[in-house]
Amino acid sequence: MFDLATMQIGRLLPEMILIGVALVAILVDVILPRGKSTRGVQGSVMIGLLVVMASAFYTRENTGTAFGGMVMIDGFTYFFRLILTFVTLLIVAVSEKYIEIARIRVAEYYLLLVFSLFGMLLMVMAQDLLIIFLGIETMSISLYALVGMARHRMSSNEGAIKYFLLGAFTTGFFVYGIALMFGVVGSTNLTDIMLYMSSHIGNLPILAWAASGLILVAFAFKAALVPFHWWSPDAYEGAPTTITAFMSTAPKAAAFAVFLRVFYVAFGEMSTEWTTVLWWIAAITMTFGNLLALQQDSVKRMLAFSSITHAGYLVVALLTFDQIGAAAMLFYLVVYALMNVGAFLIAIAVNKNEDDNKGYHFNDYKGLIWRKPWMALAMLVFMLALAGIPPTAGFFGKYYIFSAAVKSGFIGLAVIGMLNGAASVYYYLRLIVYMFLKDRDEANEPVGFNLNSAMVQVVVICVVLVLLVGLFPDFLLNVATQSVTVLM
Amino acid sequence: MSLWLTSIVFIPLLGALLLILVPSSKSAFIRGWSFVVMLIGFIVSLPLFWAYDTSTAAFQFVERLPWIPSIGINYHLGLDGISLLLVLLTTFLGPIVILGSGAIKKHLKGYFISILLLQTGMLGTFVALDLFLFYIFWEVMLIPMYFLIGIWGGVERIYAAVKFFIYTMVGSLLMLVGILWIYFNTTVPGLGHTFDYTLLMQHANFPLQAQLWLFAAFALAFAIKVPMFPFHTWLPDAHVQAPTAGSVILAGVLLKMGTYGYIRFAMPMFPDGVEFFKPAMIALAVIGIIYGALVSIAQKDMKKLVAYSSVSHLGFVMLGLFALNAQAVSGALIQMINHGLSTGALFLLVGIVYDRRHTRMIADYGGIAKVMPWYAVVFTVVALSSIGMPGLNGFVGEFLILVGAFKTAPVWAIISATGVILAAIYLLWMLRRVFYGPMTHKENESLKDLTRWEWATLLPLLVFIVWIGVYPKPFLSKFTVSIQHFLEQAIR
Repeated sequence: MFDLATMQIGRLLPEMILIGVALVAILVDVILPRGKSTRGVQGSVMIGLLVVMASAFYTRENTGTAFGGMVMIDGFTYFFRLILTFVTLLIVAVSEKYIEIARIRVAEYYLLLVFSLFGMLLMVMAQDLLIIFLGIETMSISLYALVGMARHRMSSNEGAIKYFLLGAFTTGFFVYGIALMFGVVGSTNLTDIMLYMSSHIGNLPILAWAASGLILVAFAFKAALVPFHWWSPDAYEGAPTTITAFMSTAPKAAAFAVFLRVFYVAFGEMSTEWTTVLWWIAAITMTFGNLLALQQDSVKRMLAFSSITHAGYLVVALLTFDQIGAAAMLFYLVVYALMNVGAFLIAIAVNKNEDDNKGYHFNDYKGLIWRKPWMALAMLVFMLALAGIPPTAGFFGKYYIFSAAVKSGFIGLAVIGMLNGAASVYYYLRLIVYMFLKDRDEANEPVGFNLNSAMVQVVVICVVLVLLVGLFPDFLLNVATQSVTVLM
Repeated sequence: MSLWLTSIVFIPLLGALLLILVPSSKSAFIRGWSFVVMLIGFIVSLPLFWAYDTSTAAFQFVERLPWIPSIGINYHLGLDGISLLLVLLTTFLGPIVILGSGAIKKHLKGYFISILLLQTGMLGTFVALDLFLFYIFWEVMLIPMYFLIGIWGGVERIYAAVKFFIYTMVGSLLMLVGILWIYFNTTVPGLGHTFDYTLLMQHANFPLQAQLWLFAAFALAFAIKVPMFPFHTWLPDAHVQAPTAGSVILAGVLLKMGTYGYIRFAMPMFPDGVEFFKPAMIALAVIGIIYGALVSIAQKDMKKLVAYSSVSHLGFVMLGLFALNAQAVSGALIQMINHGLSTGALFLLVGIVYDRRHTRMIADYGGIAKVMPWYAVVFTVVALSSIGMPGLNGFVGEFLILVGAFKTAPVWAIISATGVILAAIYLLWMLRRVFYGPMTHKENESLKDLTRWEWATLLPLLVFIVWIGVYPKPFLSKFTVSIQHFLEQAIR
């Protein structure tokens, strides 16, 4: 019987299809005449991603390792496969209008998104440090190129170069960490590392600590945690806005997924010590991101900086080292992706100037409620969700994270997090002030909106999901809880 | 299981959702619709007054459905003697607030949607018996109030709206940490952790140290809302900038959510905390009484004067609650209702002359009793009720509070009694400067007296101001048993 739902090779069906999607998209680009090809590539990638999700669903029962234990397909992988592919699909769906404005008329844009998705899928299934390395690099190299895609803008080039240089540097840290770990354990497999550690409780060699520290640095860099966040403001600002939306959601989710798997499975024995370090990283990341975001006059930069704060919340969930915390993290990653993609989309729609330092200004939002009420209401939902105000999903996301922290006894950190939540209300509220409370500035307001039906549909999907999950969070929470059981 | 409370809470929300479909050009219809929705809400809630069984302190009209079962959150509503009158006050003020919104001309539809949403949030806060559900309503109600102040307010409206929002948010987030701590440190046999208020009251048993922290976390959130001195600074800004109807809701209902929070959650759940913080709370309450009154005397703006007088009056309520005996607590409860009626009426009255003259400065008036005799009469009656003149509602509340407080804290009671005298000073002095003496401003000579519309707004309030003053028993009797129960819980 040739049945992919049960064969070992079938466990990798979604990834194989994804490679096929990339190849087909390249062919479409070549075959279709110029002018139609971008559209054709977009369409084929969208269909392809839907097939990837369907195949992930089809093979969801087919769990276990593959490639001699190099990768692990389990509920956790399945969860992230769906989420990451879904987010990529949203970004692909809404990009048409934007890349036209930003003068990115190349099919490579979509292809690079597919490649980086492939890298992320490798990351979330990796059971071996080397596979994680491959995944991170595949994802990152695609992202370096994507950040620099708006080559007409200096900031895009600048962001890409900074991101690339610092990223390359981090790769060095990571590889060095892997090498040291191999020196200690004699293997790079996560299970082997775990077995080694549990047989050496209390007398772990100093090299093991150094190795895990280096790996932590690499992950912290990818997740843009303070003090390894320095690349992110420039990269986020310079990148085409759709890519900023993408980078602050999907790759971040993938980075936290490996973070979770490596630290829960392989380094579980070191959790007590790393918790202290992560405690400080979380506290500083939340606060620092807020301080940066407070000062911004550009909506894009505000959203980009505040994503650092949100990464801080995710670290709070991570450092609990228990199932509730891990589930809270998964929940938050999904919710954050929805509200953040939605907010960036409105930002794209309202923006009137793609040039450096001119666009995305708060002033463009003055009196938006009286010009485009539905758009302002959608943005209201996203801002309230990002600020963590009920009855939105963002509230429950924060709630679960801090309840996990309180449960594990990190009450001080929960208080710091809550206060940061209150501080973040200020700048999210500021946009609401511009949209609702300020009068229209008819002379200077943008003429028209960069909106097409795909963007409207995605915004509607995001609003509905943010509110629905906000009123009935049970379903997503149960799914998240089940998905992390394999790590415990 | 009846859906009585659910329908009371969600009728305004339903009205708001339907209002979205109405084109914004039909302003008369929008006004009428909002009024009808509020009136239906009031009529539906009114029979509660008779249906409520005063012989028991147990929650009545209880509704309980699982909402987020995986973490033990229920949709749990119920009513006791304490919340009964507050719910009725809220639904009663609903139609009045709509009638008092005549001056609103800008963006009518959004305005009435906000008011209706706010109504749902406030009613939900008073009937929620699940800590989590309570928190949701408590937070949700912030958003429409924020818009009411920020869009339809005065010149400094944005500053006031943001200040209001951030103050309340900071307090309530710390309360959320407290709620979480309670959740994880209470285990109900067979159920695990719970947010359910009635179950928590039966099974919760917190060590002393924890109670102090928890009481502090809850008390801070509620103290900001009340507002107690020194957390009151958002209130004058919010009141002065808010449109008339916003001020009425703010004074009438929103501030009561703070005092309600004490009597429902902070005090019965953490008796050791009450014991420990009682002296401080009483001192702050009395400081609030005197300070609020002194600042009121100095005001040149009528609305600001009324706003600061709220700080003083709510100080009385807090004093009554922390005096912890039956008389004082009944006084505090009835004073919550009184303050809603009297101060609500005062804000409406200030709004009436403001709509005519577009100034609230006392100095811009003088001798207007000649041209607005009925207005002067109504204003005087309401002001006297606010001062606490016997025969009107304010007296009942303040008298009970002072008598009760004298038993437990005589010195503080004596000091706070001067607050009554100070109230007489600032209100009567304002009356004199606004209504009597020679007519100093020519513009005032053509001021019109109360219209029929305005009478319709004020008359219901006047009826209750007199009724509670003359015959308070039907109201007091509603919560006698509940207060006994409260005292058993709150006194260690």
